[in-house]
Amino acid sequence: MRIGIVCPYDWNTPGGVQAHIRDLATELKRRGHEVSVLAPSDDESALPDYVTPAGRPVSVPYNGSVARLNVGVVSAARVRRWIKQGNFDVVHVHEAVSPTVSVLTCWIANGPLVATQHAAMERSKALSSLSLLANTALEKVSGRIAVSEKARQFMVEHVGGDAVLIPNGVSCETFAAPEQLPGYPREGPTLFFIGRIDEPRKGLPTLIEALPKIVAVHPDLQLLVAGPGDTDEVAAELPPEIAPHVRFLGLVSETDKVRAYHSADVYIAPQLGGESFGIVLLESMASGTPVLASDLEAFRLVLGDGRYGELFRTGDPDDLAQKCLSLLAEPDRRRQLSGLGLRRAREYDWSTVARDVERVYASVITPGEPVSADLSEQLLGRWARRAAKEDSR
Amino acid sequence: MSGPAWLVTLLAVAVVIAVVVYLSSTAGRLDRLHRRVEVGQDNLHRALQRRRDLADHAAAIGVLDPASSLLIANAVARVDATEPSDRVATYLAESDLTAVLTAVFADPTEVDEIIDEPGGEVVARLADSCHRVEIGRRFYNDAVLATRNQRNRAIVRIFRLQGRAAMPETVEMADAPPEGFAGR
Repeated sequence: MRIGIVCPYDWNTPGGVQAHIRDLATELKRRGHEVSVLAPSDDESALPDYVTPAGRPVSVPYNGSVARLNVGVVSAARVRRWIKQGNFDVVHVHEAVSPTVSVLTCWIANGPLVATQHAAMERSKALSSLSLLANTALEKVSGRIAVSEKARQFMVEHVGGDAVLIPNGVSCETFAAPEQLPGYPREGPTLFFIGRIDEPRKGLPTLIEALPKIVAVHPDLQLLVAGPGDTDEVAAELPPEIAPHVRFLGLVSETDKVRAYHSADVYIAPQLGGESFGIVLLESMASGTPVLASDLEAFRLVLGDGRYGELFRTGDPDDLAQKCLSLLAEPDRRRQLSGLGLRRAREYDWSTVARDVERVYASVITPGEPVSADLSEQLLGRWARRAAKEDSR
Repeated sequence: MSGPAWLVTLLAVAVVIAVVVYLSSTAGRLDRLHRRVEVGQDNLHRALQRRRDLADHAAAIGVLDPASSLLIANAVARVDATEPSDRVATYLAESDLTAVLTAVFADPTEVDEIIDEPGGEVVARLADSCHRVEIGRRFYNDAVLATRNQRNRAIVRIFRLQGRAAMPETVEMADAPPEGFAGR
């Protein structure tokens, strides 16, 4: 199959949707498909060969965080050219309810379209941007995928129409690599957190608040923090007794991310909300590192209500500290969780996900009829097409 | 022509143009929705056909026990005997096939065993086809409901924007894949 995938966010900024698309594209290529990704990008020289740039991203506050989006006149031309050159059997857009290049692609493309919904937005935010945008764009989509039950409910309630549930994948092979960061394992326990450090929703403040209690018992404890954001600013705000226990890795490479998971005794996911799926939890589990996560619905689902990892009350630093201390005190429990987590992660391996996505593609395509770019039809309906037909006669 | 009258004419022309553009784009939307329904129906029918073929094949080559083989072959034959124009009877027979498959492939470990046997690969493909039937019907019904919503709008009915396209209908049938095929 010739598959075109549209990424709505800047390719060079790490994020769940970007990682999802990269891994899906890699797995689909491994399964013998031709895959091309269209994505906004700041640095076009840094793109892998299967990614086509869709223009420069702009920063927009969206859904409680700062998103770097891309829509514009240049993008429309690039989308059109990409579709024409790609001659795709199916075009797969992501997050097509927000004003992005995904929606633009829906408007321009004609033919088999698949859309994946990642986020489950709140009602008020959703409605304002949805009613106008999504209806016109999603109406053209013949196959919808939701990555979580929450995202699916969101689609059913606000967009109309059902979606097939295909959870996020994790590349178990990548995260199994048993390497650690240089200098690890170190004396004393190590905790790990990854996510935007300056975004409150990711919950780093809760973790920082819990640290004094944990450090009181383990004076040699270290918290590894990875992810984009202004490190200096966050570091400056740390209480002086905590600062020596926190090591900021900044934006890490994929390899270093895997190493960091393997360097930690416990992975902490203190997110406060807005998570529709916990990909970081699966990454940690695939690395064999036990997880302690806030009890958000999405996390409870991945962790089997506490069977595959520990849960604490969302936003409660005292509960976090207590659960963390008991995990650190029980190496047997950690070893048990590590084993269970590895097995759980395999259920979400990309080979399983890619097979399910292939089924969706197969259910929408028409053999011999690739996706075409046709904005005129969008604007003037049948008449424009009829005129074009007569023209060509 | 006096100033206001000239302005009124201009306005009227603008309004007419706006209405025409709106109507034509609505007609275009409907056209696309009907196309989605058509493609969805073709794909659903292909998925059902594939499921029948693979079920029949699995029943014929002896990878299953004789009783199960007979049940499956019978269910497939009953679908084939229905008149394709009789939607109710056809999808009822397809639902019966679903029920038979659900009963035969109820246990994941048994299914694993069958698939590992020589010729068992056809059962793996049958599992795939069952999932595709479920997805295909969901997508088809989505397209039908979106189309019906548009067609029920007053503006569409008054201006007959749907053209000659027939009102699409959803497909109602049991399509949940057997327990034993979960995760396959």
